[in-house]
Amino acid sequence: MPLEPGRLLREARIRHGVSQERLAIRAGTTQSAISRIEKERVSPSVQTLAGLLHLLGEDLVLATRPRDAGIDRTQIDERLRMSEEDRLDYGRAFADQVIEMSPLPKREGWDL
Amino acid sequence: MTDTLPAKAPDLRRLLEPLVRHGVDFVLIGGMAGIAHGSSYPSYDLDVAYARDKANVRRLVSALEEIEVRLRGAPADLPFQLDERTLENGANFTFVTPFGDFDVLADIGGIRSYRDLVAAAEEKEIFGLSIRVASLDHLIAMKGAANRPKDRNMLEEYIVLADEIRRRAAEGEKG
Repeated sequence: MPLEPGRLLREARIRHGVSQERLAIRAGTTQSAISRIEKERVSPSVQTLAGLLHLLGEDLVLATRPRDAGIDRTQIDERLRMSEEDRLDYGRAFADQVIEMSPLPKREGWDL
Repeated sequence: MTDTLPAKAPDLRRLLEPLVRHGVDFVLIGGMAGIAHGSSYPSYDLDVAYARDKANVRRLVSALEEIEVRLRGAPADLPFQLDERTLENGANFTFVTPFGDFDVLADIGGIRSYRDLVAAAEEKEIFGLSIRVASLDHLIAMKGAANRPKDRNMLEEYIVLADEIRRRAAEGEKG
């Protein structure tokens, strides 16, 4: 399913063989308003989009699903087993390791 | 953009203890706050948000003097007078200290007010100190506002972490 509402509307409209002008008449709006939505110049509310799709004989179906952002849940599990102090001590030691291994220049002592 | 790293990660005990002892009104924010909640991302500095009222700025100056802060990334010949007036004339200060990099911030993207930050913060016992730690929701808002690549990665982790904490709390309530 296309993510952009404009594309979603355009594909449904073409699928039903309805011109922008005709959809505008059905919706009591202007062809340019339909065009702006389809060209993603304006972002319609969910209600507006659902209303336009309804006029094309379609229902808008909204759904959610967990996003896989590539977060390592085993690390989260490890951290949550630790006390806050242990997390911070671990974090500090880990940061020190990263600093040591990093190719980036390091500031020494008071050197700015 | 970080183009240099500190010699060491900050020593939280040494940085937080003077703040608490001087009675500074502050909230732990940034990567260390995220770590306290369970984040795995390393942090190379300690960030705190502070209340801007005169009495608190006075207490903060006393603590910063004790910590022996110096401006980070500033030319060596740039004069810096650590006093209430200087802090009142600015908002965010990034310091280098003998105990690591230390930032004190009053103007924080993504946060409506310091009062909001405090209201949602969690009081945690850390190194024998009672420390207010910014809520994961506020940390998410801050990361969203900062929106650098590393912030976006951390934001995703914070969202998953918040979800996991909520799930565990719900399971704990059930079982």
